[in-house]
Order: sequence, then structure tokens, then C-alpha cells
Amino acid sequence: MRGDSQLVKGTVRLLVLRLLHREPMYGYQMIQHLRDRSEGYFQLGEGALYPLLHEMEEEGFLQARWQQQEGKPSRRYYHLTSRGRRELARRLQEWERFTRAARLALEASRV
Amino acid sequence: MSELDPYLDRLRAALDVAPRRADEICAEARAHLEGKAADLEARGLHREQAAREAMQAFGDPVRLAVSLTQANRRHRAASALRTFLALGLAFGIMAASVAFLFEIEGPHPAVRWVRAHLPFDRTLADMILLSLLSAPALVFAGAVGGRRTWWIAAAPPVLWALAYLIAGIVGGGLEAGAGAVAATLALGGGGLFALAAFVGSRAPRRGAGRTLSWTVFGGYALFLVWNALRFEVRDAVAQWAALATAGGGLCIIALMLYRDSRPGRLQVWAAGSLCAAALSPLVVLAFIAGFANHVVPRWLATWRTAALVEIGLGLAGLLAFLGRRVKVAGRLPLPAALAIPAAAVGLGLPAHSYIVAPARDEACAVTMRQLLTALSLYAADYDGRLLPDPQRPPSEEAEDALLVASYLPYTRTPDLWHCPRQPRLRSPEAGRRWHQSDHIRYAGLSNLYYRTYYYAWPERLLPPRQFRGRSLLLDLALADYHLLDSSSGEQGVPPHGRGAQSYRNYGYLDGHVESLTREVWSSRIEEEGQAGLRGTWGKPRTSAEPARPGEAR
Repeated sequence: MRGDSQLVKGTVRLLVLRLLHREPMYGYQMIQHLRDRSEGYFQLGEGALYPLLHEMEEEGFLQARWQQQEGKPSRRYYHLTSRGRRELARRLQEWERFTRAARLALEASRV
Repeated sequence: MSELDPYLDRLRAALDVAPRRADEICAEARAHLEGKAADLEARGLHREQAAREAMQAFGDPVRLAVSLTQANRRHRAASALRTFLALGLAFGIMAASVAFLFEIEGPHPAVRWVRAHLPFDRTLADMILLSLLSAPALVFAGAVGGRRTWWIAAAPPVLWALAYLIAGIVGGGLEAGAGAVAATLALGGGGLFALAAFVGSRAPRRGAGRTLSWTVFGGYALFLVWNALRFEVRDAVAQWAALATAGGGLCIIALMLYRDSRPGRLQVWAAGSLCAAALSPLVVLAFIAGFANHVVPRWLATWRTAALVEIGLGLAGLLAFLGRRVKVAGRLPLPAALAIPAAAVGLGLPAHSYIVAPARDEACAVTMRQLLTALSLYAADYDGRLLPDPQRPPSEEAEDALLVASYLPYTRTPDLWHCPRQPRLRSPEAGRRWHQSDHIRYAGLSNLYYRTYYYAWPERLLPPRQFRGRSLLLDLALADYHLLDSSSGEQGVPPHGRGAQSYRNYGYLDGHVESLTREVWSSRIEEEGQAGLRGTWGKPRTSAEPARPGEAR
């Protein structure tokens, strides 16, 4: 099941940052990971992911390094920079506030 | 996977970013596509179908390229070019303003006032001008190649500048000006080379890229030739050497930048051709320029340094580059082929100093004898007396001009005041407005008279024939460099290079010239001093003394 594109668009940066906080990953791996962990909700398209990754790299949140692989093509692994970690903390905090506010608002308006 | 090639080629063509970044993006996309296609293939899809589905997931390559170009703002070629042009325009205007202030003749009083109150002189203005002009090129090199490239590109000229500054501090600040000019020129040259390689790599046709690269290269070479004609030669030599060093090193860097390109691609060719162009012919050209313009042995050390630095940079860069593709041992003939002419130049320099320099020394002595004859003729016409006015040491330009103007009918040409061993000044004014130009300063006339008067005219304007054997002229520019116009960074005539000893020509009032070490000359002066013949310089002129030309007698 593919999630609502507007909702996904608003959270994809946070998701990428959170994903890379655990370990460095390459693009295809991120797509698979997000899809598997979200039970298919987050199905990021390559055409959207790579521009986003490059943009975040330009902004200094990510850093990419090529890694050779045995018998496979080289992969471009993305790492979280210290600036990226700060951004993640900020976005997580914002996310907490948002979800709490949304939950409160939704519960208050429940009939 | 060959099925992916058309897709990736379209992506590559639509990307508007620096070549290296585009290569990187395509490599990443290829890795992704191959990984996904392999997964799909493992699930039972046919190879071609798996590749097709993987590409479909990526979407339209042109749209993807547009998104990726926008995401890679720093690497966008168009923005780099715009930045380059904008900076070039801004710095060009600033440089033109500086040039205007110092180059125009008969300036408006306001300009004169500004010039007088600027915190730098003409030499420094030249350096600022060159820095301003070269800065955009360096910025562009950084924009194209990334931050690391910028640092690597900036390193050779910065090291040059540092080396010169240290040499300048140790040696009394004499070489700092030329070094800084050379370094800034090298910066400009390096940036232009990077620009040429970049534009060449993006040219639609191979021939166009090649033509453009060579045009830029030729243009810069012409620029340096122009400088060689305009400025003093030893500065030009330093510029050539610095260019060869930085240009060669930067071309190697350009090669390394494009190491991810497929063999045979235009950018590899463009960078390679520039590299080959920069590595050896410039050194040879520089050597020829130096030889033709009577560069003194003193400056040959600069040449050796330049050659060594260049060889080191070139070899290191080449080995690093070649090591990525093939075994170094397989390509050793190439570095060796580059090293042999460079080593030949290095070996030829000392030979040059020992063979050519003595011939020039003799030429200086001949010039000096002619000058002595001219001065004797002048003295014969003025009651056996020579200029200058003893009350005022003739250190000002106006005084120099008057002196030489007085002697000109006897010397007939200002060239007589120039020692062939001294680097030749070719300022626009030389020969045209010689009496107001630096020509006279470099000839060391002020020092000539300062010293001459002090040591050879104890009774001031006495006839030369009474002082036969006294030292009159010292290589036309005396050994005391600091007495020359130090603000221009010039040093007068360097001593002759004959082994560990340094000799100078000393002209005597009886018309003969001797080549002596400074120690020998000093001891002779000392003897004269003990004999009571020294120094009455500064003593007021008496009314009995003859007037100078132009004064009422």
C-alpha cells in the first residue's frame, strides 16, 4: 500500500535522517528498508529520493562515500554528518510536537 | 549491463553540472539500476525486462536530470560560469580602476591626489591588479572541481608566494614583489587552464574543444610575452617559471579530476594536451627568453627551483593518475620522457652561468669604458669638472634627469647607461621619455654619483685628471642595493657569478676598467682614505665653482 503522497513528502526528510542515524546506507538500500519497515506504506520513488539525497548533501546534512564491493558495482553510501544529527534532533522534536498536537486536536474533535 | 547505457546517456546529456559530478551521478544511478535489475532477475524476470522495469522506476531521465541539476546547485556548470563572468566583470572593473590610477599620463589633479593618497605604490598596484584579475579564474576552478580541487589548485602559487616572501624577508624584501606577481600570474594561469579543460570537455565536437583549449593556452602565452616586453625581464622569467609550475601541476590535477571518465573521452584528451603543452615547452621557452634577455646568473636559481618543483608535481601527479588505471611500471617511459628534458634544462643552467655570464661582464666593461670617455669629454668642456651639485645628493628623479640630460650629448644614447648584464628594462617610456623613466634609476646614476663623489672627489668638482686611478663607476649601479630605488624592488646590477667570489666592474678616471671583488675594492678605498683623500661630500659649493648646464655661469 502506497501512503498518501503529501504526508510522505512532509516526513521523508525525517525518515531519511533517522534511517542514516543507525548506519550508512546507499539509495537502493534506503528504499528497500523504508518499504519493508513500513509494511509497504513508504514506497519512495528513485526519481524523488536521489534529488532529495543530493539536496541534503548540498546542505551539509549528509556526506557520501564510494565503497567497493566484492563482485558487485561500487555503492555510494550516505553518512549522517554532525550537522545532520542536529537536524535530526530538531526534526524529531518538531515531529513529537506535531503528532502530539495533531492527536490532541483529533481527540478533542472526536464526537 | 548494456541495456542501461541509452538511459544513462540521456541522463548524462541532460545534466547541467560539472563533468565530474555528472559522472558521479551517473555511476550512482547505474549502481542502483544494476542492483535493482539483479533483484528483479532473481525473482524470475527476464534480464531485459528486469532492466526495463528498473529504468521505469527511475522515471523519465530528462525530468530526473532536471531535478538532480537543481539539487546539485554548487556543481551547476551554468551557475559556475555565471559566477565566473560576474566576478570577472567586477574584478576587471576594479583592476581597471587601479590600472587607470597608475597608468594614465598627465592625470587630472583629482586622480593625482588619489594616487598620492593610496596606501600602495605602483608595484603593489600591479600585484593587486593581477590578483584581482586572477581571482575569478580560481573561483571558477573551485566551482568546477569542488573544494578540494580549489585547495590543490591554489597550493602551488600560494607556496610560490610564501617562498618568495620568506626569501624577501631573509634577503631584505628584494624579491617579494616579483614573487607575488609571479604567484598571482600563476593563479590566473591555473584558473585559465582549468577553464580551458572544462570548456574543452563540454564542447560538442572534438575539434572545437581542442581549438578552444589551444586558444586559451596561446592567449595566455601571448599575455606573458607581452609582460616580458613590458616589464623587466627577470620578472617575466619568474612569471614563466611560475606559470610552468602551476600550469603543469594544475593540468595534472585536471587529469586526475577526470579520472572517472571513460578512456578516449574528450575531457581526458583536452586535459592531456594541456598537460603536455605546459610541462615542457614553457620551461624551454622560459629558458630561451631568459637567455635572449641576458638574465644574470643570480636568477638562475629561480629556474632550477621552478624546474624541480614542476618535475616533482608532474611526476607525482602522473604517477597518481596512471596508478589508478595501470601498473606504474608499464608507463614509466612517459614520466621518464618528461624528466629528461627537464633534467637537461637543469643541467644546462649552471653551464649557462659559467659560459655566458663572463661574456656579458666583458660587454659591461666595454660599455663602461665608453661612458668614461663620454664623461671625460664633458669634463673637458666644463673646466674639467663633472656634475653633480654637491649640496644635494642627486637621488631624486628630476636630478637624475638633469644629470643624464647634461651628459646626453656626450653619451649620445641612454643605452650607454645600461650594463648588458643588468636585466633590461623595457618600459613603455624607455627610449622615448628616457630622461623621466626608470631607465635612469636602474642605471644607478644616483648611487654612481653618491659614491663617486664621496670616494673620488675629496675636493668636490676637481678635474678628473687629477685623480687618476680613482674608482669612478661601479658597474653603473653600485653594490649598495639599498641606495637604489628600493620601492620598485629593483637591485641594480648583480655581481658576476664566478664560483664563490662575486666580482664587479670598477671604472677609473683614467679610462680603464677592472673587475674586482668587493673586498679588494674596499681595501683600496681604505688605503685612499688613509691617504687623506676621502669624503667631503656635502660641503657647500663655492662661488668659484662652475655652474651646471642651464645655470648662469
